[in-house]
Amino acid sequence: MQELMVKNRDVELYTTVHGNTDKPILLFLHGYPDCSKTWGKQVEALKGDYCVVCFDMRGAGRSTWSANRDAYRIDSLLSDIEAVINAVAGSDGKVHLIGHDWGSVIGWSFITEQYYARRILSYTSMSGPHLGLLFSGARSALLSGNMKQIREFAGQFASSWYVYMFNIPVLPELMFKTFGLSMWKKSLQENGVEGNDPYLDIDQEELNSFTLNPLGLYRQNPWNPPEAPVVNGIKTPVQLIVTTEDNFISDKLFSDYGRYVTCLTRHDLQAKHWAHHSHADEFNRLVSQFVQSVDQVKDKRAA
Amino acid sequence: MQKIANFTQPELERFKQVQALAYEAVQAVEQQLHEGMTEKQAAQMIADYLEERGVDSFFHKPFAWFGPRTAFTDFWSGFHFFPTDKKLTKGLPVILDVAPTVGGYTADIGYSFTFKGKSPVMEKMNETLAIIRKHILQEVKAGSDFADIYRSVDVIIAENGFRNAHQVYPRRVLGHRVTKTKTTFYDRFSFLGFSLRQTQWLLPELGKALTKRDRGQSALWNDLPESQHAPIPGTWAVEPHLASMDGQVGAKFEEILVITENDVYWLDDTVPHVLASRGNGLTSVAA
Repeated sequence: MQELMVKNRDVELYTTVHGNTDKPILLFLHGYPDCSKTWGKQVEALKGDYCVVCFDMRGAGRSTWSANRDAYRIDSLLSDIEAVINAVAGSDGKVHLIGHDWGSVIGWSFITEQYYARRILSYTSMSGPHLGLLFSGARSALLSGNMKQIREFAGQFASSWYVYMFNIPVLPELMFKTFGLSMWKKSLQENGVEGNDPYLDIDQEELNSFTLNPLGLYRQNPWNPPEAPVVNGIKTPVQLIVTTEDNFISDKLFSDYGRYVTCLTRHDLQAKHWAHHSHADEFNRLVSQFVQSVDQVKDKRAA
Repeated sequence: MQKIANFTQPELERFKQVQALAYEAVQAVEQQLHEGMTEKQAAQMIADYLEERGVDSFFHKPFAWFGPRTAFTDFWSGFHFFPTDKKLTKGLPVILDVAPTVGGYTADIGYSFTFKGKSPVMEKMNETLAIIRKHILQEVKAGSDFADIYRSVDVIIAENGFRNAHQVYPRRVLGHRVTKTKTTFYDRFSFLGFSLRQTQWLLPELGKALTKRDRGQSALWNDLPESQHAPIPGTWAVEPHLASMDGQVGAKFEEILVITENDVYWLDDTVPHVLASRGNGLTSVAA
């Protein structure tokens, strides 16, 4: 394993590289409240055939945090991903991207912007919607007056109760500092992580880094959602893994993604939010299969 | 990867940049001072210079002291630190002191000089301060207790015929921690010249010190029981301040000392008073 501190803008990103960069590179984006260690089972299973790259999002884990007021805007997060790709794969290198939760949200924006999308060979998304599509979808549902559509979005906005809570000043910080550790362990275990998972062995300081600093994600982005793609606007091959028993993300959100993604594969997993822990083997197989199929097409074209 | 004093090397570089900017500001203002100017005007010039260059907020607003006020003569409350309408005349000692924050990184600096003239007292003070600067580094490296270092600095001050003026600062501090803080909407509020946001982490420390809890973790460096402990790793703004016996002249420096688990060093060895004490004579050159 190789460890890097990748400098970008106002932060340094703790990045781990497992395996040789001659192999296809898989870049994993973790969610909230997580750090790159959440990908432990993926690293172990995939590092033989691939070069597996993970990094702690700005402020989380061993990355440094930024003091700037708008440090957690999607714009900065996209730029962080580019910096890591540049550091690992070179300035014109390409990678396969895999995102979970917030990592998935950011991944969607990454492949929506042409400038960044050219660096991505394929994208596997789990449990994180395109924030632009979420808001534009909610808006058009409201305007349509169709009660069924409105109810679907109302359901998602109701299960996002924690987003509103995170926007209250000071309170979430107090809560995480006081009850954080037991709450975090309980919440992960109820949502798919097994009690003996080594990922659960963290201390309060570590937890603070990935609960407190990235609260900005929820405070700085919903009011400035990223742009939604146009119809057929996403050309990157996308594999959508939908967790049907997810307590945080409604599977209904993804029903019309085929309109925006020209090459979309969808797999439903009967699993909860942290499915890359609970259903690691299936998840790893899906990632590996999808990456191989995309690479085969690419090789054929090259030939 | 290795964290130095709770910060990575690039983070320390940013502290260094802010400190250099602060020294640049006071040196630029030194060049623009003229007779008849007041402390308030000088302090405002420092603030303007820094705000123009992207400073987000101030840990404390700029201070400017002229004449006997540099020695904190007759300072009996915190309000006396604030700039007054005291006018500048030739040959007066001047201290400019400011603590800007850029992108969450704070510097706290102090800069002393004689306005248009030479003063043997001020020169002797600067020599003494240079000795103290070396002495503090040596003692922290040796792992001496903070409070003991404070007292040994007092001895050097007395040997050179001066008084300790830093005891006039709140809680008699020779130094205090500076850290990295989040930038928020609340930055604009200040109390007695000290930013509320920036001091909010200091206040609990002050409380702990007063209630004698958590000794050995204090963010303040003084000669009280709360500082009777070995050096704590971190970034410390150290500010020895001397006053003449007659209370007419005072001089100080202030800069960041980096203490790590296994090393101690001044963050920047090219600050003006260091260059001057090496005989480079760069103190009067504006950046």
